[in-house]
This record gives sequence, C-alpha cells and structure tokens, in this order.
Amino acid sequence: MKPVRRLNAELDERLGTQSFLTSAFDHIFPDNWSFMLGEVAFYCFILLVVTGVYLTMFFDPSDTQVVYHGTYGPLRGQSMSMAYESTVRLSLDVKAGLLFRQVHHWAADLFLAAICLHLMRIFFSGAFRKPRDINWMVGVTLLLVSLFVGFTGYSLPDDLLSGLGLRIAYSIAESVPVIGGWLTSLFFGGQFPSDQLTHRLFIAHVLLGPGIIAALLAVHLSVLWRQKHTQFPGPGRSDKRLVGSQLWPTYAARSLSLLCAVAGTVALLGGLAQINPIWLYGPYTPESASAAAQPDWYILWLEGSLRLLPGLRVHLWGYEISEVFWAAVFIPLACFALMYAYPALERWWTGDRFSHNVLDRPRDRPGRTALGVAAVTAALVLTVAGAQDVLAEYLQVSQPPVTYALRGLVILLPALTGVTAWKICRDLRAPKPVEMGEEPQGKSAEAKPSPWRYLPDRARWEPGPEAEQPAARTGLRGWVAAAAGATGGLVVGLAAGRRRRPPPPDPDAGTVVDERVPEERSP
Amino acid sequence: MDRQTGLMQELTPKERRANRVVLACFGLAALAAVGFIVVYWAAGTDMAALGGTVGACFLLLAAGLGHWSHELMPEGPFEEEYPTLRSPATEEAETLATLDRGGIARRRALLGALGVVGAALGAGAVSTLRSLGPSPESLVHTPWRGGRLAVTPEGDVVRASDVPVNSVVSIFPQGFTTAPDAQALLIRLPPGLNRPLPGRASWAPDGFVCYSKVCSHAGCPVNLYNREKHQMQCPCHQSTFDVLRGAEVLFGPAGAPLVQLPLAITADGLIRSTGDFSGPPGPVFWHKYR
Repeated sequence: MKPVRRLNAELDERLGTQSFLTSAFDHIFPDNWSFMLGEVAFYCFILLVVTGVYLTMFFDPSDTQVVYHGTYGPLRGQSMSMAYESTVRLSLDVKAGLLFRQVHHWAADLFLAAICLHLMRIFFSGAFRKPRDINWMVGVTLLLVSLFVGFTGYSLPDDLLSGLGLRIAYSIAESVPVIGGWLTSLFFGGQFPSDQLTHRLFIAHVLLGPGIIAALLAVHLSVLWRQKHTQFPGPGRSDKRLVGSQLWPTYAARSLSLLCAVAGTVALLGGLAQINPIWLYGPYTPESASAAAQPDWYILWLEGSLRLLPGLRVHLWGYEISEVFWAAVFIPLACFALMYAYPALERWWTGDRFSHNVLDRPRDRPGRTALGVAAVTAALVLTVAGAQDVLAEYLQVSQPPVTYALRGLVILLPALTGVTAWKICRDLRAPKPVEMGEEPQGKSAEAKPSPWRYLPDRARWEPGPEAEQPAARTGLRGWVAAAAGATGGLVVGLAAGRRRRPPPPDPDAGTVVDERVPEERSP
Repeated sequence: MDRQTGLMQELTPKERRANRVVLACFGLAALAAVGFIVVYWAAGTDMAALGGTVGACFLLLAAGLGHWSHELMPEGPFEEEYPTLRSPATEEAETLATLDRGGIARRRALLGALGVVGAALGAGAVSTLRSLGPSPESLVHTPWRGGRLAVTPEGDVVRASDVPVNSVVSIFPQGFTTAPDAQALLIRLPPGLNRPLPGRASWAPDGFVCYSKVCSHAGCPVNLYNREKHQMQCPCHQSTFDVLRGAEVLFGPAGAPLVQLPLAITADGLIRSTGDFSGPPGPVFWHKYR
C-alpha cells in the first residue's frame, strides 16, 4: 500500500485529485449483459489500435510496382505493388506477423458486429430518447466512420479482392450527380487505378479514421459519464434513482475481464481461423476478377443493394444518373438520415418530450419494436443478397430465380417480421387472466403486483408508492436467464447428446422465465 | 505472509474457494503467456500455437477477473441519484448574461465581418483540395483507333488462327496494355450465331466479336464467359450480357449494354480494330456524354 499512498499524495498535492477520485470510484453502472455490447466495441477498438500499430511497422503503403522474389513460390516473378508485396511478406515471413494481421482483421469484424448489436440494444430499449438523443447521433456517426475505416483497411493490401472493391467504390463515388467526377478525381487522385490511392487509403485508415473514432468515443463516453447509464425498470429504480454496481472495484474488474475476454476471443480466432489470405487472391490487375467476390460482412448489405436494384438509369437533358447512385448512395444515405432523425421523429410522433433514464422493454413499444425488427430484417436480406451468387451455387440453382426471390423478400420479409413482432409485443403486453380454480404456478405464486405502472399516455415509467423499497436483483437475474435461454440453442448444438439440467428454481426471483431447453440426443 | 494468512482466516469457506479459483486462473494465464514466449522464440510460425497460447492467457485472465469481481468484491446493489440536467432559470440567465459581456451580441458588423473572414478562409482551405487530382476527363475516347492491333495483357499480338471457336482472349490495343478503359474481351463465336445490331454487321469478321470488359454497372472486369449460352457475366454483381446480340443486358443490375469494338482481320491474319468502341465504356456518370 505504501507506494500507492505515496503516489496518491504526490498527485493530490499537484492536482487535488481526492474529491474527483472518490466520486469517480462511486460512480454506479447498472448491471445488464446487454449494456456490455458497446464496451465490446470499445475494447475491439483498443485491440485494433494496438495490432494496427504493429502492422504499420511492416506495411509499405505504396503503389510502386515491384517484382516478387520472396519465399512464397506461386507468386515469384509476378509484378505487384509494394503494398501487396509488403503484406505478403508480413504475413508469411515476419514472425507472428500473420497472427497480428488476422487478429486485426477479426477484431475489425467483431468491432462492427458489436457496434451493430449495441445500436440494436439502444434502439429496442429506447435508450436513444432524450437526454441521450445527442449520444445516439454521436453513435450513428461512429458507425458510419467505422464502416469507412473498415473498408479502407481491407482495401489496403491491394490484392485482387480489395482492388475490385475499390473499383466499385470508385464507380459509386463517380455516380453522385453533378459533383461525382470531381469527387472521384480529387479523392482517388485521378482515373482509377491511380498511383496515389494506397497512400490516401493508408492515411485515412491509420490517422484520420482512428483519430475521428477516438475523438467521438471520448465524446460518447463523456456524455455517458455525465448523464449516467440508463437502466431497465425494476424495484428501486426510477428516472431519478440509479441502481447498480460501483465503478471501483467491482465494475472495473468486470470490465477488465470483458477486455480480456474480447482479446482472448480475437487471439484465438486470429490464430486458428484463417481470414483474408491475400497471397491466395493474388495482386490486383485491372483486367482480372474472380467469381464469389464478397466484401467483409459489414459491407455486404451495400453489395446486396447493388445486386438487387434493377438498372434504372435517369437521363436528364444529356446528363445521366447511374443505377449505382440509387443503390449505393441514395438508399444508404436515406437510411443513415433516418437513423440520425429517429429520436426526433419518435418524439414528434408520440409527443413524448420528457427525459428518460429508465428503459423501455421492447414489448411495451410494439410500433418501435416492429420498425426495428423490419429494418434489421431488410438489412439481413440485403446482406444475404450480397452473396447471392454463392447462395445460388449452394442451392444448385441459377442466379436469376435467387435474385428475383431476394428482390421480393427484401420488400415482403420485413413487412412480415415487422407485423409478427408487433403482434408478439401486443400479446406479451396484454394482461393474462388467471382462470378460476387454477392455482397460480411456480414462483409467480408469491409475486406481488408490480409497484411499477406503465403510463402510455405520458409515455414514461413512474414509480408507484412502494418504489423506494430496498432493491432486489430480480430484474437482473431475469435478464441473465433470458440471455442464457437465447444462447441455449448454441449450447445445445455443441453439447448434443448431453442432457442439460434446468437450473434450480430461485426462491428470490420474482420473474418467471421459461427455462425448458429442448433436449437433443445424438442418434 | 502473516497478513496473508490473517486475511485467509477472515474469509468464509466460499470466499476461500473463490480465492483459490482466481489464483488458479491467474497462474494458468501466466503459464499460457510463458507458453506464447516459448512458441514465439522456438519457431514463431505456428499460428495455431501462437494464437492458442495468447488466447488462452487472455481468456483465463478474463475468467479470473470475472470470478474475482463476482465472488470477492462488493456486489451491492448500490444506488445513486441521476443528475438533474436542466439548470435553474437564474443560472441560465446568468450564463446568457456572461456570454453577452462587452455587448458582443450587439456588435453585428464585427460579427458579420468575422463570419466573412471565416467563410473566405474556409473557401481558401477548400480550394487547395484542387491539387489532389486532375480535372475529371470525359472518357469518350479510349486508345483504340482504326488499324490498331489487338494484343494480350502480356503484349503478344493475337493471330486469328490461334483462337479456337468458343474461346475468349482478353485484349488491349497494342502499346496500351496498362490502359484499364481499353480492356476488351475477344470472343470467337461459332459461325452464323451472331445477330449483329443494325450498322454493326461488318464488325464481327469470322465470328470474332469484341466487347469492352469494363462493366457498364460498377466498372468491374466482365471476365466470365458462358460458352454454351454465349453470355458474358460480371463476377461482381452478376450483370449478364448477350454476346450474340450486341451485349444487351439479360439479367442483373446493369442499366446498359457493354460497348462493342469493331474488328477486322489483317492480311497476315492478325486481329485489329477499325475504330474506337461503339460508345464510352464503363459505368455511366453525370457528364459522361458531355
């Protein structure tokens, strides 16, 4: 303890840290697994910076053409850019270089996945409402920037696949009406493929993008710190009172544990699962292309949009608007505009101008939940459409029927899932009458009427008279059990043949969760 | 040592057990990290061993920290008040008054001038972006000219007799094998199948047809050829073009056919073009035809 006491005293003498530290250590975070998704993204970013810095030691961002004389036989004698040559070298000749590259790539894929899941959690639980609408916009910007940084990242090695992606990106930028030509010429440094491109991608990927992400993350977390975290409804919790764990030491240890879990996961993936083996793709040449060319998963929806939209060209007095513009500029921009505007739109639609700290359960907001489910469905259909040639080959059918089916699905399936979600929400929300003579079963037998009531007209949770009782941990356990149920499918698949015992009933828990797991036996 | 045993005696059996579990996790994590060092220095090329050891180290660390936080740290629940964000009206008025110190808001002319300077400076900064690239050219013309010989990407001339029926060759104009817009696919169709568009009857001598390889959709190289159906397909978005009928779009997102190159065969049997493509190749954009 002595060095700690000494250091604390020295810092306090210079900075006066004690009151800040005590208040910071006491800062309370509510406990819920779904609040960890944003943290996963944050830790992915840290891992991306660490592994990325290591990669810059070996990567040469240059379009200068060289002839390969390295250790990998199949490429020997081929002409390629120094960017490609150095990526092959760092992958195959640098000790642990491939581990760092694969961990970096996996961490990027996980980063975007965590951002998307975090966004969905925020949306479905209504965490974007005032006062956090400001942080929602910061978050949407983070998603947008992260998509760009991800794209510039996998475009850097100048392999055949990334070259095709860049060629498409060039056409997309070029398709913007009026300014498209200037946009591409200035951004790409001339006609594609220009000799400036890798330099520019590199500085965008290693400085501009991460710098913007770091700055926005600082804002994102500062706003979170100032406003404190939202919480799900539960005893003792209200828009005024927050219940959870203290930052020090419990939450700090838990969060650090999550960082290690993320690091361990991407390290295992990077070591065991090959990703983007660019030495197999070969260097980019403008006249080459390979079939089954898919971008990383988070760009697939854009690829799907490009594949599904029919060729609608608009001719305006000798000027042209390309079909690519609608698929890859207009629709994505409209989606992001809708995302930015959503908190304001919902405020206008519901007339709810209050500030909220207690989250909605998705079922209590059928309209919003239905909209979210429909949007996620559309994004998933587009993502599948991004690999429609692979799907057709897998299904052993030709491409046109698959494409036409996907065109129909991208309209119909969101409508179907949206309506279904709406119906399920309404049914879950409706009070369930207990039939006469039937004994209430299980844990709910002793459950008292909730001290919480939902006031749809004023659209907010308000504590009833008993709300200030000492808090129990029922809500948390219910959600943990629900999470366990959701991952149950995976576990069952892995442990096929082994019977899972349902967890023992918890006498303290007031929430009834269906814990029956379908039994599966190997034949 | 005394302090440690003293601490251990204060703990309940459950806590003592948790203590041992965390200790075991951290110990194994340290072992895994040492394993990583050994693997790295021994050979450093076995990705599974490298990733496995460092991954195991982090996951054990995660398990240890998680168990520690769960079993041996205060769990609460703790409470605190959410901050009241909206400030009292008096404070708000004070802030606004402070903002207007020195009557700043009334100095309209000065503020306006400041805005003008900002705008001018911003425009100056933006105009330096002009140096980033050349002025966008209209791509109406490619290096293909009448009489220019067709060569492979390696630069070898294409002899008509070397191209069997139903096979394809990627070609460039001689001397321009690095011009991406000039790339084209030379296809030798079985005789009599080609149904040329009006005015293009003479463009396909001996069943040789040639279309630009730059897709009219998003610019990928259209280099898949179906020799049974005589279709060209783009591998990026599957736009499919009818080689027998002026490369019209049969399927996919492309909004226009591929442009065709008029061909002729020289006296010594080499493939040459008789002019530029039937139009500017590649995707359409705002001022393409201007």
